[in-house]
Order: sequence, then C-alpha cells, then structure tokens
Amino acid sequence: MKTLETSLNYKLMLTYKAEDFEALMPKIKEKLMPKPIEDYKVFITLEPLTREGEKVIEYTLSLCPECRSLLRAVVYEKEGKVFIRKRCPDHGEFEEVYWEDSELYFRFRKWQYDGKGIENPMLPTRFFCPYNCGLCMRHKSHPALVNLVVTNRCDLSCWYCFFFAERAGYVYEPTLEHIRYMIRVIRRLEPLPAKAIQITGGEPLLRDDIAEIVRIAKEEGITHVQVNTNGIKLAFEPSLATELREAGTNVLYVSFDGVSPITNPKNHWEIPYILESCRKAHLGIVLVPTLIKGYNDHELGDIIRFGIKHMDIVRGVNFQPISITGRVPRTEREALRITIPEAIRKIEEQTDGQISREDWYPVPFVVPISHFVEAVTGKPQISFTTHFACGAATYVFKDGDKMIPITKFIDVEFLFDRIRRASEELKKGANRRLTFLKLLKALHSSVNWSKVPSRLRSKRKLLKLLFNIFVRHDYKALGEFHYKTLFLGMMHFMDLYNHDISRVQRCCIHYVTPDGRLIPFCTFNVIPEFYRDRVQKTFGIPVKDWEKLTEKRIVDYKYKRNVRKLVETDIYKTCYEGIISLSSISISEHAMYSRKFGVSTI
Amino acid sequence: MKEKPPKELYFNSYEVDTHLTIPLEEELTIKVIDVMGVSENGERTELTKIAEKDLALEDYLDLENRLVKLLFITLTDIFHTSPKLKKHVYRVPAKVKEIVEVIEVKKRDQREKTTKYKLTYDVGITINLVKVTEV
Repeated sequence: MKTLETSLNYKLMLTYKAEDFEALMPKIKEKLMPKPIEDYKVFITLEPLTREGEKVIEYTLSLCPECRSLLRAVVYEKEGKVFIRKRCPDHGEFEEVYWEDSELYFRFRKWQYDGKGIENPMLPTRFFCPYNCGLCMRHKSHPALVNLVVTNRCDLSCWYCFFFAERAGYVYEPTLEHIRYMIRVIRRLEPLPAKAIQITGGEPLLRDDIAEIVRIAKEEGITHVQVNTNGIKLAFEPSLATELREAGTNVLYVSFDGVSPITNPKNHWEIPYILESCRKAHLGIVLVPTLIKGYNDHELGDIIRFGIKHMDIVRGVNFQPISITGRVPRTEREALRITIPEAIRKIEEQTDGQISREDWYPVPFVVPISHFVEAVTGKPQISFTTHFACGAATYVFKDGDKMIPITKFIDVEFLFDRIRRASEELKKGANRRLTFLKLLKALHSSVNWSKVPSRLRSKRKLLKLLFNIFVRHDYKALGEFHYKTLFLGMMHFMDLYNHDISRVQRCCIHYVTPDGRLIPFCTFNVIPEFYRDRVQKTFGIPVKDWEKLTEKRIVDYKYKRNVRKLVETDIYKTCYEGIISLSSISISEHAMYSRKFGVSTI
Repeated sequence: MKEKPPKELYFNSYEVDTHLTIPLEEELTIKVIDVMGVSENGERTELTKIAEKDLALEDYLDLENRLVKLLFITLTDIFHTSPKLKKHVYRVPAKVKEIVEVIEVKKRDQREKTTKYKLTYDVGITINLVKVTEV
C-alpha cells in the first residue's frame, strides 16, 4: 500500500491504479482544504449599507474581491437594474451590477425550485460556505454536468488566460487510472449518480489518449460525454472527430466568440473546417461564445444566424457573459460587463424581434418535468435546480428565412403549470391513465397551430414529440428535438465582484478534482487559489520536469496559423456566406488579427 | 501524575426569527420548547439554562449544521434578511449521554404551518446531532 508521503510523487502516481487513488485521496483532500485565518476571514455579522433610492431585494453572502473573506452582501434594485454591494472591513465597499433588468429578474425569480441535494456528502460541514467545497450537505442541487480537467496544456496562448501550463508553471495531466477514479467518485453520488461529464482543459484534444478517456467515461456509466475544445486540431485531423464520436462523445462544446476574425481571433479561420470534420463524423457541436461588452455584443444576432445556417451539425449556442477575473477597477468592469438580460435585449434587437425577451426562461423553469417523471416512475431524476439568475434558455426553429422560438407557438407557462399539477395529482394517487390523457389535452391546447413552423405542422408528429419529451422525458425524443431546433442558452458564471453564495449552493455544474472532491463551477474558478490552482499544482509537475519525463516540448504543441491557406478554400468562403462579408479583409489583416490575439502565423 | 478533570460540556439551543426569500417567501421562526438530558440508564433530567447570548462565530456553523439537517436551509438562506438569533446555553452534567431537544418550527407564507421536532444529540467529547424526528 502506498503511503501519504509517497503519494504525491508524480512518477509513482503514474503507476497507481484507480483503487490506489481511492485509498489515498481522503487524506490528501483534507490537506488541500482552505484554512480559516491562514486563507480567509469571516465577517458575516457586518451588514452592508444601503442608500436612498435603493430597494432591498434580499441580503446574501459573498466574498471580498481583495482578500476572499466571507461578507454579507445586499442585493438591491435601483433605476430598473439589480445590484450587489458588500463591505469588507479591511478593503472597503464593492458594488457591482447583478442583473441589468430588474423586471426580468423578478419574472425569472418566480421559477426557482430547490433540489434535494446530496444524500452522501463527500465532506463534513466544518467550515463556512464556500470554503468547505467538496460537496457538503449544504449543497441544494445535484450535478447536472461535471467538468473533468484532463490537461492544462493548450495549443493556444490567449492573452487573457492564466491557466495554461506555461503560465501556470506546471503541467497537470491525470493518468487514465486517475481519471477512472474521478469518474467513479461522481458515479457514487446519491440519490443520483452523475450522468453527464464535460471533458475539458487546457485543450483536451492535445492528449493522444482522448478517445480512451471518453471510452472510460462510458464504461463507468456516464451517458452523456461532451468535449470542450477550441477545435483547432479537428480542423486538420477529421479522423479525430470520427474517433471521438465512435468512442462515445455525444457533443463538442466549441469556443466561438463571433463571426468575424476581429471578434473571434481564437478559431475563426478553423471553424469552417471543424464543422466539416464534425459533419463527416456525425458529431454535433454547441457553439460557446464568451460575451464581452463592446467587443462582440454587436454580433449576437449573427452568431445565432450562423448557428441556424449550420443547424445540420450545430445543436446549440450557449452564450457565456464575461466573468471578470483578476483585480479590475470599477470603470473597467463597467466597460466590459454584460449580464444575461442585456444579452437577451441585444439578441432581440439584432434578430429584429424574432427572438424576444419573452422567449427566454430561467434554467429551473424545466424542473416540473423532472418532478413529473419522478411522480410517474418513483425514481429520482436529474433536475436543473440551479439558481434562477445563473442561466436562461430557449429553443428556436428555422422556418424558411425566419427563426421561430418555441415559445411563440407553445404556451409553455400554461403547459408547465399543467405538468406541475399533474405530478401533484399523481403523488396524491390519481389515476395515471387519466392524468396522461389530461396532459395530452393540455399539450394540444398549449399549441397555437397557426404559428407552428411549416415543417412541424403535422399535428400528430409534433404532439407525439412533445409528449415524449415533456411527459415521458425520453432521451431519444429529446435528441430528435435537438436535431430539429437550435438550443439557445446562456450561462453567466460569476466572479469575485458579483459572487453570491446563494447561487453557489444551487450550482448544477461542478468540477471533479483529482483528490475526489466535487467543486461548484463558481468556486473552482472564482477562488482558484483555494481550489483549481491549489489542487492542480499539487497533482502537477513543473514544466521542465514534464518535458524531461515525456521527452516532449510544450512549445511544440503551440499552434501556428497559415491564414492564407485557410481563407482560400470554398469551405471557408461558403461557411460564413450570408452571415458576414469577408472579402474586404486582406490576408495581412487576417494575419494581424491572429497575431494580435497571440496566435502566430506562418 | 494528576488526572485532568473532564472538560465541562455545554449545550446550545438556538432561536431563530427570519424571513426566507427563495424559492418561497416565508416567515420562519424556531422556538425551543424543551431540553432534556438522558443518562446511560435512561434517567431523564431537565438541563439547567445558564445563559442567553448572541451568537459567536462558531455558533453560526453549529446552527447551520442543525438547520440543514432539519429543514435543508443554510446560513445564506436565513441571512436573506436580518435574522434575529438567540442562543440558550445549558450546562450538561457528566452523567448525561444523550440530549433531547424539542423545538417548534413555524413557517408562514399565505398559510401558517407549525411543526414540532425532536432532535436527538449524542454526548461524547463533543455534542452531535444524530436524529431528527417530527413530533
């Protein structure tokens, strides 16, 4: 048996089996936890000040952006917006916009549902939240998606990223057995084992054994595997997309910050080839734009149109309003900050009202479906009980040149209310057949047939599809639905300025760490010094040692872009056709945008 | 060598008066009805209250542990307003091996619902909540 002293010897760790990690990690976990006084202070009795003209919505707990101490914060409404303010005795007051539209905030707030939490917490509750993450019994939701970091190496060196190996100074890359251990940890969760993971990095496709990782996940019972990538490798290795698909990858999450080279210098030139590779492999893609005010918020409509244009392979667009990392002065934050309502407003503006503010619903809006399936099957179901302010979503159908959100022809509020009532009736012992029939009737009356997209007008087909999704909660039907529609989502991850512990405690997106903890997304990345960086450094190896050990060089993986070659093909030209005119951009301009971002050109 | 006298144990009972906001707006009050000690041979004795105090920092964690097990609510939840919190301190005689606390939880939104709970604590080096039952 390995001892704790030798356990973090990198070379030895390479030989460990999943069972060895199982035995060792509880002790290491203990050592890595944030420590009171040493790491943080607690000032929860100090109430933040409120001022004239501010309407208090509620108080909450938050963190000091300077010292990470726990503070009380006030969430208040002023002039149609929602703000959060906190006061640290050592570093003063911090104020940040929380939501840019108070009306939408209150509309979303109506659909908050709390989950059942974790029945077998992985840690005792000894410290204040969020210094006790791992998960403990405070956590109100179970994970809907677990991130698994498989490397911190990356083929890019984006100017804003502090995470990749060269900047971090170490390489973090768990072995296949270590990964198997981590997946087993999340499969042990009760009442529901995690079913969905996102393999992420760094750039996960830099690992030669990436397909094997997907296979391991499937072997261990994960039903949904998505890979989060910049996709560049797929542009040049179409066979890798096929390999990933055959291994069991369900979908790729591909970074896509805009339709032009200015807004998307990360992978603008490769995107057309990535789509082609995925088409050949029948591997669906979700585009993931990070939204930054004044940078790409004028392209939201075009991003959606781009998604619609490539709907044969693009399953959705998941917008992520910026999370501001590091110490940023208030005026700079205000210049960059965009929150969910503002993004929704801009989408309405940029789609000529086709996708309007009313078409969006908060993530927990769909919880009644899970409750209904629970009532029918008697088995616990995954339910998206995340905080209402964390995310929003809608589905859009293509109808000729038009985009029609599902909410334009289905009264979803009416329908979900009927689903909620049906589960209550079932719990009270109502006749199942009768309840199903009532729901089918409700489904029928919730549809405005005159507004249904033309290719969906077959009543029987549409009702059957909706019945299978909403009533039967059928994964296959959901898949079919995704092929016909474009999912539009928004997920606003927090930062130190808008951090709200109430949201952390309801988080549905976690990271599994190599020591066997499960950390909510917005603690893992918002206080990396306590979580992400601490744990990965502990399990990592200095870059020089890694290079010596593997006889590889980190820089050899860095991507160099051949702009001329990429823009000359029909694949590139047709990909953006009808969305944006690129003909006026010269090769040297293309190259400049790439270099400015940090990707050198050849 | 002189044997150290055993450390005196104290039990805290908490009263809460707050307003929860999400997922539901509701008033929440928790009152202490009864605190009994049970010795190894099953003998029950009423514990003597020695003080009524405001909460110290470590008490918040203790309270939260109970609230999570009792109602699945956290400190953040009760801090959505300015809660009124009070701590009753009881001395625990050496013979007491178990503490039984009866509390009354009142929740009010449009309707008012009052529930009594029996909380059972194991007394060892520390005092741990081991069972929650509705009375």
